Amino acid sequence: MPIALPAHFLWLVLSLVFQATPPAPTGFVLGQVVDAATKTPIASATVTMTPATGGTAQASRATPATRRILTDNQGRFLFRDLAKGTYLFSATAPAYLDGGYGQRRPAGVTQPFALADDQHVGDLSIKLWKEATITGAVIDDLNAPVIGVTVTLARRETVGGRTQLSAPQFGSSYFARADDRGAYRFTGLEPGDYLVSVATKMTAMPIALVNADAAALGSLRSSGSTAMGEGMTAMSPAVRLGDFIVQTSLEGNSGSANPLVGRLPTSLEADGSIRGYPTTFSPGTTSAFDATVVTLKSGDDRAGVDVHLRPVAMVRVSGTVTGPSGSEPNMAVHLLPDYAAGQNLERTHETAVTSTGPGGAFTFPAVAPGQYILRAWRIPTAVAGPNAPPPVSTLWGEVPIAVGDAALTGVALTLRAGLTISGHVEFDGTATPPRPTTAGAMLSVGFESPWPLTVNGATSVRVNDAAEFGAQLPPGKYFPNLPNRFSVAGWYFESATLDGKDLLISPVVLDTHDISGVVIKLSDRRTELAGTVLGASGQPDANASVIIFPADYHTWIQNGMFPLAARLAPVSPLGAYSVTDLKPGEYLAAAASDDALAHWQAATIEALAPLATRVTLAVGDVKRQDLTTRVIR
Amino acid sequence: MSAFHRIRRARLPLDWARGRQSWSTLALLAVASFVVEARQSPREAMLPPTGTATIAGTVVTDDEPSRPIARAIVTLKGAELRPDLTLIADDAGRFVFSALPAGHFTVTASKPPYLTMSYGQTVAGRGSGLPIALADGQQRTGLVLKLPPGAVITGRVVDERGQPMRNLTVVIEERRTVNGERKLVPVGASGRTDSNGTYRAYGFAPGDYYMCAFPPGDFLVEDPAISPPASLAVQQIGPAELQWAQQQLRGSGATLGASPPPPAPPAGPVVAYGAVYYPGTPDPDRAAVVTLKRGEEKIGIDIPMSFQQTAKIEGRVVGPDGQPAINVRVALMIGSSSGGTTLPTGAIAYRNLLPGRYTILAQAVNNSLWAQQEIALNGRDVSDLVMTLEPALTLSGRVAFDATTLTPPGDLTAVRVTLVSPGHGLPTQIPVKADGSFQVASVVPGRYRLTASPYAAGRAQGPGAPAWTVKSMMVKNHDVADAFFEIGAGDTLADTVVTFSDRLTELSGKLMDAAGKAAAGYYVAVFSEDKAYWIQGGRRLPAPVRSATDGTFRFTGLPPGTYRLAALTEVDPSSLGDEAFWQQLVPSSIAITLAEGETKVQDLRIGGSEEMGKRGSGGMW
Repeated sequence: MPIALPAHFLWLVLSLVFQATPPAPTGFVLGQVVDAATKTPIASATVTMTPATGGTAQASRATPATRRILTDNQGRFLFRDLAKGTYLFSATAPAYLDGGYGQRRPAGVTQPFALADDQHVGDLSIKLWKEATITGAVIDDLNAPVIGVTVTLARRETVGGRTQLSAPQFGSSYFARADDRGAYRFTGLEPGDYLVSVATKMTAMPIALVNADAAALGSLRSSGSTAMGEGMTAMSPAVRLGDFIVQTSLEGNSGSANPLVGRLPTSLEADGSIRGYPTTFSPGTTSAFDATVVTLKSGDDRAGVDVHLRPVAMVRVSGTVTGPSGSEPNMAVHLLPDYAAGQNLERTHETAVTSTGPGGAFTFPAVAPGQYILRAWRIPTAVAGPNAPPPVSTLWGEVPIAVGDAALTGVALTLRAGLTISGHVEFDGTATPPRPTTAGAMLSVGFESPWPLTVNGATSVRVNDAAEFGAQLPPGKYFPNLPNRFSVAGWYFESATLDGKDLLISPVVLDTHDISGVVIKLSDRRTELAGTVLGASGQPDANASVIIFPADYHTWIQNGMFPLAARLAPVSPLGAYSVTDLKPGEYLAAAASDDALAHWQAATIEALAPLATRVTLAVGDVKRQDLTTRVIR
Repeated sequence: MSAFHRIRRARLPLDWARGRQSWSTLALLAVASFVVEARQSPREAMLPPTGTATIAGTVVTDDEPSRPIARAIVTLKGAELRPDLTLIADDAGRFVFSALPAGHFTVTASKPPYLTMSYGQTVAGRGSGLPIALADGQQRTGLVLKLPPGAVITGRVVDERGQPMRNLTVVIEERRTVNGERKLVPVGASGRTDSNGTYRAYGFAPGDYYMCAFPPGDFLVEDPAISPPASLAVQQIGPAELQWAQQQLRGSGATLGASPPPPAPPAGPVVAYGAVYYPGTPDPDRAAVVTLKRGEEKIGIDIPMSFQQTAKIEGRVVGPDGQPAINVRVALMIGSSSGGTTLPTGAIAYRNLLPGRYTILAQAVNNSLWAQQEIALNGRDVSDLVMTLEPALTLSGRVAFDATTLTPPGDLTAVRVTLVSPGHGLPTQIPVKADGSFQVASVVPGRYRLTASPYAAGRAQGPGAPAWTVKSMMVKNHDVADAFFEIGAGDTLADTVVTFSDRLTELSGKLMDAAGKAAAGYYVAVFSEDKAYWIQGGRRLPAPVRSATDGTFRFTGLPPGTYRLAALTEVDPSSLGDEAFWQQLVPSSIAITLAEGETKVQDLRIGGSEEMGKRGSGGMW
């Protein structure tokens, strides 16, 4: 640098520096949080702004990724210094359900908001719906409160067109604890149908078995019994019940405890009989089928949903587990109430778990009368391709049993060996196929199983570097289950076939022999279907949603309305919808009111199909299709 | 205490499950300790009781006239039982444990909302049950367990505007002395506050308590690198900001050549709710005491919460050469909470921190370098913090076996030696080589304890087999087997020797009254003569035991050394961590020496012997 510089030269350098620095973003969003029903402002709500994906790197550097603002006493909020980009606005407030911009019903979908350069928005409104609550008490047959017991909430809902009961294992809003008056309270509930229960579960091991070998416990842990794995050894001390060591219900799974009902669900009477509290639904029934269904509307406060517990005489249930190669010792045996099978209640409402001993013999020391399903299985965990055979073979079996007033002995549970589904993945496109096992491109395929083997009801199989996969599964009907399990950027599901047949229409049937040659095809060109929804007046309809389902909807409904083949899409405030990554195929697309589609079922599809618009999507197709809002009758 | 204990251990993980890092860490530690507890028990002999003796009785209320309590859980404990026997009393409060062997047993009954009591226990929440000496075939019936009603605390938690604060947990604490330090210790928790902000906690023994409300789902520290920013830290907006924005909106589309837009007012402060003690202070030292009487329902213990201004800590970690350090592991700690993360470039950036005293510990290059910084925050940002790493210390030594009957393990790599730091998160496992030597080069100066076990993790001795115990742990020529020790910056920590012995001491005896009859139900305390070993939970300071119905008492596994032996009528468990408690026992105690592996019988006579003669201030003889 010369020592003496002309003044104008210095000015020039400075101005260049200034030009190189991007100007500070100047956009802002001023808005208000209001009660959806009364439109009154909500003060002290927390509004969170998150840049939606697709925001520029510059924007995220200039502004922190996520910001939170507390609304003032008129419900107002202000986010300043915003760069051009797409943002998500969500809000939380006491006594309200969490919500966000663009939401049209409680727990409905939210919409992203696109902000232009230097745009000043003054009227962004976020509606929140009041939470619903359920309160009640747990009372025993002496009319005394049952204190400290864990109360479990199950929801009856329609997911992917199917009605099911579900009680999430995690999520504290589904568990409450009765206080010293027996009173419990569930808050933060969305509108919907609910069942309230006190679930008791007994994990039992014969003392002799516990003494003989800790391997029995180990086998239970590795056989998929989380209750056994976490509950029996970790969470609480075991107590003795006659010749058994028993443990608590729900502990280990939910992190909660039932000090009375759970810790010691049963008591050995002087005459050797056992009495205990069975799993009980409000108002006082042992079957979910007879339970009171609490239907909540937005903001409902339902009081007096009591659960009456009544001790009953319990009996022993014993038998043997036999596999293809003889008796199966050290195997977890699960006892489920009949209503829980196939529902998302299998973990929260399991009745009992024990382990087989020598000769495959098992005993549940105390089971309340009722209808049950007895199950045992062994599923090898993640399998890497057909070249890496599992160290243990898949075994599974179940048998329904009816437990009455007398001990049930000699129950025979016969296990069948699993069968293998194998195949390979084909990459259809010009882009370089990813190496399936590299980090960030972990490719797996899934199969939805006949009864839930995992929490998600699907089993996932790793794909090896030769793009092959293989899994040993219990006999049953399997659909490929890809999108959720598939995370290779730039590749999209195209088809799944076996001998040229579409597996989304005719699923893999594992019955007597192994199945090989499943072909999963992925494409590097994604489909896109977009358009505008018009209301009866011909104006864009912001209150609609769009549903897209297979043109061959009869087969699809018969197959259980597999979610992979259908899509529910929200509509923007300007009436626009957009759906990407649908697998190529023939579809019907229809628009209807958001409320009507929120909990769509088979009947919804049947009603909409004659009014729907047929759309054919080939690989890589980008199509526009405007739709008119239909009324479902 | 067991009712509280259960609440604490079962309830906090549930209610705080959605809490942030620090609370998950707490829950995790709690669970970990149960794993240890549960793993040990099934391996011991779990045999059904074999005998013909009986213990039977009833569970009743403690008022007059007493009424039966239906369906209490009754637990029988005894060295002869593995695990405990448990049953539910019938609707008339009756219970029967039959087919028992001879031995010493304690009976405990619990039934919320009553307080849990053991047979012979005089005050709920204090002391322990009276061990029942049962002879072969003895029928001990007619025991009466009186359960007092537990007290209830309820109140409302409100926010700055007086509105209910919902879904938060109020933790009930007690002031206790832990290793000589007075501090608040959680003893229970409420369920979450309801839509009126009302909380309710039950099952408390009479006593003094402190209430602390925790923000829902909150956590004291927010570190975006640990978890997504989802705490309650929020930015407030002021009228000036809103006015400015509205002016801008009105101004858009205004005439050309108008004056440039007014500069934006500064953004509002980032605030958050922190934990608040009744009657409304974040400072535990200023918390007000709430005294609960027997069975009382204390209402109106309202806790107002207010926003506190948060602050940032920004800075960097540099190596000994002053260059930016890469891949530094840092832990931000406040109280017993900590959150750890790895900094690729050594740049420190914590935000949304509530007022408090924080410690940042940084470690790099396999923990061979370290730095530590204490920062007191009070709403003001700290920037330009520079932490310079320096070399960590090396601790080395060997394990040795002092064997008489047992054979030392062949594979010494299975021996576990662990360095535990009360302040710094996870313990350090020190690998032991086949020849018994060990070395660890990542020791940060601080306060530590060593623990050791000759058994591999998950493997234990058979039931009833003679066992190895730690005889001594020599660090810098001091036995630290039962003590915390300081490691200073320049210390040389070579020649550490951990010695295991297979000889267990046993001290037993019988407590008698002046007439020579068995004195049941007194507390017998044994404690090291050397004050350096007065560490709560240490082997040389076991919890006092109660003399059984036949006056007998027993301590096993005391390390060799000189001890004092004393008898008391009552023990407040919260005072066991207080040096003054043990000090006051000294004048009325007798000295006793235990050699290695010695089995000693020492009978005590109350009020009779010269040594035990004087009546002490703490109600002892």
